[in-house]
Amino acid sequence: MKNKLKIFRAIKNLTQEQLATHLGVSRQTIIAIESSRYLPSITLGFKIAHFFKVKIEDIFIYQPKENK
Amino acid sequence: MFMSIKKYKQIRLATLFFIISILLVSVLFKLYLLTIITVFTGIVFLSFAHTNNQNYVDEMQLTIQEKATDFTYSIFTPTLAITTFFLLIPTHSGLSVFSKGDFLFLETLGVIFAYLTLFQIILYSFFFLYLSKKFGGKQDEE
Repeated sequence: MKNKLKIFRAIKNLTQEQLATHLGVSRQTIIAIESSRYLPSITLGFKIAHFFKVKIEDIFIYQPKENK
Repeated sequence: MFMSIKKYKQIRLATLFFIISILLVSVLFKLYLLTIITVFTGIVFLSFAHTNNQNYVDEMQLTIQEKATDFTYSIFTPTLAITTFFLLIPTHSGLSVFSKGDFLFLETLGVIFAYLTLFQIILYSFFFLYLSKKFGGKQDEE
């Protein structure tokens, strides 16, 4: 799963700390999501999409694993 | 959804209380190996399980806690089970290796470990069933 959180955050000119405060999570969580090390819950995913006023699939891009 | 920082601090305080109690007992009974291990555990616990400045524990921290618990369980239970097996291993006479002599206490320890292992298995089974029912719903639901 890829995401464009960093891009959306840059568009809004927000720091990781500011976004974290808006979403009610820690800055570490934002860092982990942006670097795709942590996949957020569906609730947080929707919360992020709602905050940026976009669809959830605009931020999070599902990439199915290819069968080898 | 989130664990409050108050609850988190209470759990942390209870753990610290346990560590300090064991430290005092180990010093009192001159169990120096236990003292060293307790001090080491205390340092590790205080270094890693620190609180942050937030007033809640967020979902990523909860996920980390769940994974840490999962790893702890999957390492601790087999360790306990294998130790129990070796302490209660029967010989050709049908008795445990440690059922007589100076190491009789090891057999008793094996019995205690066996109870603890079985208790953990029961707890795990109970919570697995409970959570399966909670999240699985009824079979006739559509």
